[in-house]
Amino acid sequence: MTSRPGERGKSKIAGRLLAVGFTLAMGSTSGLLTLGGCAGALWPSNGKLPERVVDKLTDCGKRGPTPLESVNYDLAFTVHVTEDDTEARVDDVMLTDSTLHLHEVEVCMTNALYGMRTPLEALALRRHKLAPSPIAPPSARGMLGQAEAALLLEVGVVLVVGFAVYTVVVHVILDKHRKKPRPRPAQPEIAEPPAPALSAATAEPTATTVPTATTVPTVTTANDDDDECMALQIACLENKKQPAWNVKKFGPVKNCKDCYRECKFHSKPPGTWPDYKCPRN
Amino acid sequence: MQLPNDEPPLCTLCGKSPATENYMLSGHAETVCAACLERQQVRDALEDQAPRIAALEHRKQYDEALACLDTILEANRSRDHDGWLARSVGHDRAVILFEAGRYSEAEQAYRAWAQLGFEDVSQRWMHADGTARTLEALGRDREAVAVLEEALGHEDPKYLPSVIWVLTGLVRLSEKIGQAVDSKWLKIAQAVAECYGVDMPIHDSPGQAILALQEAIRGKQPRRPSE
Repeated sequence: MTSRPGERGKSKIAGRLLAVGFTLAMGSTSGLLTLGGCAGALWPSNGKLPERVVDKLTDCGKRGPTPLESVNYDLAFTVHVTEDDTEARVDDVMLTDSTLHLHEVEVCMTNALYGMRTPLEALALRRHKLAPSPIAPPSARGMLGQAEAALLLEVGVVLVVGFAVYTVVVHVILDKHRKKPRPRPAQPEIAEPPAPALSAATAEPTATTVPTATTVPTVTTANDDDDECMALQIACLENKKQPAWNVKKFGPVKNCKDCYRECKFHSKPPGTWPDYKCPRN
Repeated sequence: MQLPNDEPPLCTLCGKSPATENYMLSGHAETVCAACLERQQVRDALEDQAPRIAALEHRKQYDEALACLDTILEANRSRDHDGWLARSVGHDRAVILFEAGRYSEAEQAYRAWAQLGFEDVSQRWMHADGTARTLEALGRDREAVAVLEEALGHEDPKYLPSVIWVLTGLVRLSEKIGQAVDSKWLKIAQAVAECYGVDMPIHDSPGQAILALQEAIRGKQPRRPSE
């Protein structure tokens, strides 16, 4: 269920943020404030969305209304993650609550969260110490059906775009039933130690398992191509307008879906994005 | 003093009809005609779900991905005046069935897509490449070669960068059935080389020349229209 557009004051989502002990970290002058420093045992203080994803969410916010006085918009998403020994993937994103009611911005933000697909970024959200009594939000429970699921993390960001303030809450849900089979070393399984806290801005992967039990993908695989084409499709969908120099040839709007199919399924070498018709401008 | 102009501006997308509607494109408000607005809304209906469909494919939930496509098509069929949605769904359906390993169904889906027509030659090439791979999976390599050769008979200089994967597919399948690649296809390869601003590699075998060209343009971008 969604609230009325432009609803002001303390909203459900803002209330939920306060309820779980988030602290609003003020002080940024860049127009973007990140909720961090959350209290309590459930949410690690460094739990936050990857910087690149936050940047994309901000870009989405810029497509929204430009009010002349301060207006708050609250959006809540449930991000469905599966993970195996080496990576976690975003498999589904659902907008579960919104006071914005502006389809383009909501879709843009949804796709930005889909973009959080790279293993490193997803692992940055990974927490091995799940809540003692993990409770997925009701909206997420509906989505997950009978799957065994655990609320992995709840993170929030506040995006300030002019007078528009977007409070975006993301529930990251781990679905334990969808582990993908991966080749494992011929060693007994061991309990993984808690993952070291990965900074969202950290560019270098950090081992999250005991080295002897870790398989680290180092070569390009079909999945890597999938990820690359998927990320490029999302970037294309976020910027569908054809640059002026290419309009005469390919029209005013890029056909991102065709470009994705070509990248993923036809191109040689696989994963080659057809920039000539869907430029990354 | 200038008199006010009551004539509405022309649609920013088609440039033909009067712009009477607003449409948000990449964060910019565009003024468009009613027909273009509807066309874009139909496209958005599919594209908004594209990441979700891709995610379903990735985790091999092919039936769910196909159901998602059907739902979108059914909900928007009446507004799909130019058939873009039906063609796009037809394309997606064929690829998903192939990826699912349901090759007989994929072959039928590729046929169904062809009956809807192609928007441009790159779609025709994608169709041929997918059909050829499906036929190969069904053990019908010679038919697959014929499909690629037929598609190469359709050209459009606009889409030359894409033809390289049709050519290399032809080389691979021709080698597989022990058939030499016809030298007539070198004309297309030459045009690709010019498009990328590289010299066409010279080899005794047309097939080897095409593969060498693929290596020569790897990582390069074709020239822009102004270049």
